[in-house]
Amino acid sequence: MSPNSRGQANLASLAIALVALVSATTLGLVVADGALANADREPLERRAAVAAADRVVTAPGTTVRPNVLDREAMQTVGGGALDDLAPPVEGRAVRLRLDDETLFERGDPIGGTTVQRIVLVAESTTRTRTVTVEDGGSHTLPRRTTHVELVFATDSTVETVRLNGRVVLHDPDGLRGRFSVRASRYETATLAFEGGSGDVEIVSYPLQTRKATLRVTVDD
Amino acid sequence: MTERSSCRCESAARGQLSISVVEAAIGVLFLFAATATFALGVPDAGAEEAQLDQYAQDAATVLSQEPPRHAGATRLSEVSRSESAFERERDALERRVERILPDNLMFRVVTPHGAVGFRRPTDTPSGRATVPTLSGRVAIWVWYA
Repeated sequence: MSPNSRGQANLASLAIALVALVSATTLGLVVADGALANADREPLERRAAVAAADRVVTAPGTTVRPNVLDREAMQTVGGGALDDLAPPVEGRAVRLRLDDETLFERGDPIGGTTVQRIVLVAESTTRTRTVTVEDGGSHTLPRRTTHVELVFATDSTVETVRLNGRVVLHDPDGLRGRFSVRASRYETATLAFEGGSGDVEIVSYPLQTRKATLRVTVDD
Repeated sequence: MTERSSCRCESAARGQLSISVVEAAIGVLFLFAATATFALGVPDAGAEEAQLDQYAQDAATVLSQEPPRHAGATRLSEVSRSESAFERERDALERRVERILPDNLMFRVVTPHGAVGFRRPTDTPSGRATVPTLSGRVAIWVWYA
């Protein structure tokens, strides 16, 4: 009697053992699959996004200087230009956003990898002022500019113009007409006029910058 | 004889806990051990720190190319120049960095003559960038508020 009853118990426990093992294996496979799916960091996608963001904020074609974007140039950044700047984005869905404004979008990047960069957006403005100068008079430009244009009236008798002490224009017969003078954006420009008097139109091109966040999203 | 038979009965009663259940229990333990290594997960990709580093680097690039307010080559070399220059410029520097960085970031700028910004927490991930200037290094730390 006893060997028989043991045998019956073994069959039932074998069934329980198999069920327990199979469910533990299934659970293990599900967890492993989830872990592997989480471990996929899309390295190519990230590389493309980082490269595109990096090139856009440093390329001479789109910037005034590193991290200072040229407003006008950014308007024209299209798919071809972006592919040329950053070849890794070729053939991928990509979106380029400056703050809330979408500059360029190709495909429909849902999710994907986003890289954010802090940039300044520079817009060139034109300031024109006309001053009447006398011998020894000077004029300081309130905002820094990379170059200045001076337009002297035809009856002007100004002979010499100095920019921060350096002689930039000189004509013993009197300066007339339009001249372009290079200035430095690292210092305030003071123009000094010598040798005569006259009306001068001073045109400067100060850059106006505002801060912005550039977001590049790339999706495979 | 009676003793023996009772002994046999006992061993038969013990035999009811099947060896296959014991084996299965050990097997399940082994499987859980393997599952646990997956459940612990893989380490973080470090994308957050990379982004913070990028923010710090961008802020450093922008600042290091800005013209000085008074004297020096750039804004950062101006503040690292001397104690008095730093004292004069510290508020302007703080305002400027605050304006450049997105609103969700906190920062600390350390110059050879002092620091501006917030106290840096030790338990949050942060990004860092340094800019060498004539009179020493200027370090910028950023972290999420």
